[in-house]
Amino acid sequence: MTVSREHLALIVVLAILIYLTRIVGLLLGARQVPPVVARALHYVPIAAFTALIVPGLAVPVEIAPRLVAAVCTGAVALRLGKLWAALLVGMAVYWGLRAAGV
Amino acid sequence: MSDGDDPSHRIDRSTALPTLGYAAEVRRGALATAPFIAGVAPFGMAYAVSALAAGFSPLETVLFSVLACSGSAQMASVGLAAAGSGPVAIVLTALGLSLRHVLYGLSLATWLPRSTQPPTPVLAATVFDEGFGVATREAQNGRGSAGFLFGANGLLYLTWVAATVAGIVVGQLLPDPEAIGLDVIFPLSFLALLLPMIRTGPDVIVAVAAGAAALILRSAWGSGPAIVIAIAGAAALGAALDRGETSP
Repeated sequence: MTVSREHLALIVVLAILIYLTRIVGLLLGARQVPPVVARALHYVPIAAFTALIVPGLAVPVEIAPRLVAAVCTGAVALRLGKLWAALLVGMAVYWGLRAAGV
Repeated sequence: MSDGDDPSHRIDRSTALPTLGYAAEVRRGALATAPFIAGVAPFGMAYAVSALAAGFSPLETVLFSVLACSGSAQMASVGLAAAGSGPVAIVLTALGLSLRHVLYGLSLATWLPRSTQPPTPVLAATVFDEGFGVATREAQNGRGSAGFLFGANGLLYLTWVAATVAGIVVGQLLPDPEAIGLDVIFPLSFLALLLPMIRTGPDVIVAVAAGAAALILRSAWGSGPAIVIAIAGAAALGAALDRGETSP
């Protein structure tokens, strides 16, 4: 159970920086922002999730099973509105296609 | 109306439904992110295995999760350390991967009350993409609260820290989650959160623009900066389109 100075320094610096990225938006946003900024912020969740999804699905070696699983996940999410059901179906389809060698 | 031009989907603090008591809100938030444990736990364990392999002691590995809980930044940090990168490269990469949280904070502040329980410094202690997603969805349905957000992120924080400990103990026995393709659970999770949010024409255009930008910019700028630029650029595009649509 040892802690090296180099590793501890790295962890503490990262902890402080990451915390700052998390609190600065909450503090700045609590003030009145101009209407154009408010309109842009409305689109942040949509933009963020698509920016995370697309690179995660567009994996060249196995794009087909990932895209099919995504379509199934999306269909269940929209139809049933249940996250766990959507993930269960998506992962089952993905692993099924992988096992079938698609 | 200044910024509430489209009442169908914009979040308005004043019309939010009354929420349950604080403890019930925390519990509701935790319940909402419970399905994501299936993805977060295996990768928390995989992080621990990578950290040990990169020369971090067990105590350092756990301390990292407790103090700087952040899936992607921690994974990247220990990966770079294992590859012999210096601290400056590690810090810059981790910072790049965390910068989108600034935008999450700004977005959350559009509907969170001025004074929250728990207070802002506690709310900011842990942020997961999934927690941000379920809390935003809840706010769009008029039921957002700080307690819900805290419960949603808090459960994933506890999961990540517990998984780190479990990974140190038994991680070597498990298959690498990425090798069996479990990483696909993250884009699938985000997709299930995203689709119900898309309601208007500008929503669709913003989504397409953000996805394309993230994919194109990634090879040149790395994953972290590419995602931040894609989000900020697509959100600005949305604001521009919105104005065109709603101005008389």
